[in-house]
Amino acid sequence: MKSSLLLWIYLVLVILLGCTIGMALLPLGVVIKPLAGLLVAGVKGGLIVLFFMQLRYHHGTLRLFAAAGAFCLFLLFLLIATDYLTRLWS
Amino acid sequence: MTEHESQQGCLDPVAEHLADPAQRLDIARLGVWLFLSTEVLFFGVLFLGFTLYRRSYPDEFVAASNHLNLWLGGFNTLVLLTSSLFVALAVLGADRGDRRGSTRYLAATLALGLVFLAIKAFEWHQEYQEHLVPGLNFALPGTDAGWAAHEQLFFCLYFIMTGVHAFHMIAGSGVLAWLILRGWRGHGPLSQTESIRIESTALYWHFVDIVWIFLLPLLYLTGFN
Repeated sequence: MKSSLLLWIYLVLVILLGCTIGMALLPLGVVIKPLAGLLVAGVKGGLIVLFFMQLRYHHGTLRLFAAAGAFCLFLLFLLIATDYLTRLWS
Repeated sequence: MTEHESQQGCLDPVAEHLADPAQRLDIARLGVWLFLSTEVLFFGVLFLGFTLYRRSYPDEFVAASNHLNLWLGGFNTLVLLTSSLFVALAVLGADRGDRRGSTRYLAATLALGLVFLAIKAFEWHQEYQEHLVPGLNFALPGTDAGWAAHEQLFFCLYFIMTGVHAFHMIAGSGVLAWLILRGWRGHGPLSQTESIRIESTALYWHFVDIVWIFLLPLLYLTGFN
C-alpha cells in the first residue's frame, strides 16, 4: 500500500462526487436520479472499503465478517420488498 | 497483514491467549468489522424506512427534498472524502511506527470532521429558520394538512438520519482527539497497541464517511428537479 495509490483513489472519489452533483442538475426524472445517485454511491463506497479500509489486502474471515452486514441488509430489503412490491395499494 | 506490519516500530507484550502480535492485530480488525456489520444494519433500517415512505409518498418526498441545500450537502461530502484520505494516510504512517506523521494526519482528519459538523449545524439552523423542523416549528403555508404531514415525515427521517450520523461523527471526533493527545504526549515510534487503536478508529471513520455517501443521493437527490 502506497500513499500515491491512496491519492489516486481519492481523485477518483472526487470525480465521482462531481458526477453525483452533475447528475443532480440534469433532467433525469425523479426515479432515475436517486437510483443513479445511489449507484455512484455504491461505487464510491466500494472503493473506500477496498482501498481506504484495505479489505483488498485481507482475506478469509475478515472478508466474511465484512460481507455479513451487507448480506443481512440485502435480506432485510429483500423480505420487505416481497411484501411491499406485491401488495396492491389502492 | 499489510507489507508495513513487519516494520512495526516496537511491540507490546502479547496476552497469553494469543499466539503472536500478528494474531492480536487480526483479532482487533475482526472485532471492528463485526461492529461495523451491526452498524450497517442500524443505519440500514433507517434507509429501508426512508425507501418505503419515499415509495408511498413520492411527490411529497420530492417536494420536501427540494427544500434541502444540495451545495452544502455536496461540499460536506468533499470534506468527508478528504478526511477519509487523511485518516488512511495516518494508518499508513502508523504501520511504519511514524508517530509524528500519523498524529499530524489524525489532526487533519479531526479538523475536517469539525468542519463537517459546523456546516451541518449551519444547514440545520437554516432549516430551522425555514420552519422545517418537525416537533419544533414545522409549518408549510399554502399546502393542505395531509400533504404537509407527509412532507413532515420526510423531515422526521432527514433529521433522525443526519442526526444519528452527526452523533457518530462527534463520537469519532472524540476518539480522534484522544488519539492525537496520546500521540503528541508519547515518545519514539508507535507501539503496536497505539497502531491498532489508530487503525480501528480509521475503519470506523471510513464507515461513517460511507454512510454519508449514501445519505447524499437518498436525501438531497430525491428532489432538485
